[in-house]
Amino acid sequence: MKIYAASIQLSLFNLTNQLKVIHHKQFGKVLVSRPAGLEAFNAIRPTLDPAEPIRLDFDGVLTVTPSWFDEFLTQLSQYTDGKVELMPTDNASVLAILPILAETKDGKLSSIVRNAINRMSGREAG
Amino acid sequence: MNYQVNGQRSVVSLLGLVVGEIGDNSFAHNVGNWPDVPGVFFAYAIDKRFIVLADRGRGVLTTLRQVRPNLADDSEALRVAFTEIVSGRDPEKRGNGLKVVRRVTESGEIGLFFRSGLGKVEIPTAPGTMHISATDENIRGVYTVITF
Repeated sequence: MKIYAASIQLSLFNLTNQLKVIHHKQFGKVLVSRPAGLEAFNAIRPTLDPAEPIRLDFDGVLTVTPSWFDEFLTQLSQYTDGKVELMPTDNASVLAILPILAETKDGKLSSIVRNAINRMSGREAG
Repeated sequence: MNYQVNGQRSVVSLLGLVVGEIGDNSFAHNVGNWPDVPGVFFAYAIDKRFIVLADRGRGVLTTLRQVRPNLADDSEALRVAFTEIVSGRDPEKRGNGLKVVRRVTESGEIGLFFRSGLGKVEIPTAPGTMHISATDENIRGVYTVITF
């Protein structure tokens, strides 16, 4: 069991540019429901250092629902005090959720989302 | 922000968002309170390009009256559900889901027919704005048809 748990933890994270990366495909291709978002956060929390910045990668994920995303990102933002960065993605569901979160959230969560939108908008324009 | 970037894959991704959010709402807002039959009816016909979701839960008006007791009727409850940040599970910080569903269906090639009580929400399959109206046929819980 310990080997299995360690294997999951290792597969969840890669060190890229000295940032931890959470590969969301490890949670599944279709990420639905608020309880599942909380469960995903609780599963990875023991492996996170709240002082370290974290990047979120949605490559390989087909769909994320607003409830799942809101729950996961809210928990992660609080735990890391906002040290979260969304990697550029062309996932349509993620791109659809971001503007609403930017409009309705405040504080560090809103900053995370706005920074992501700005970076990705810049990339599109370029 | 343009989220229609990858054609068919984007439609599938957004369909998953719409179906997943509406289907999950049925459970999230009725857990422990199902009036009679728990669960969600789910059916689809890819060749006819529609998906159906239905539940026999409490419906949108009853759910939202927990936090907005002055809501007048089903149509007003649907307007609040699709346009305002509010949740029947206040004080939990939630309530974005149907706003995202509305934006996705209004701007993309996905249509929405959403009934609850005597209220009706219609968003055309082609990009277009949401229309809310009252009907004379009561729907117990929620009945949704998603077209694409």
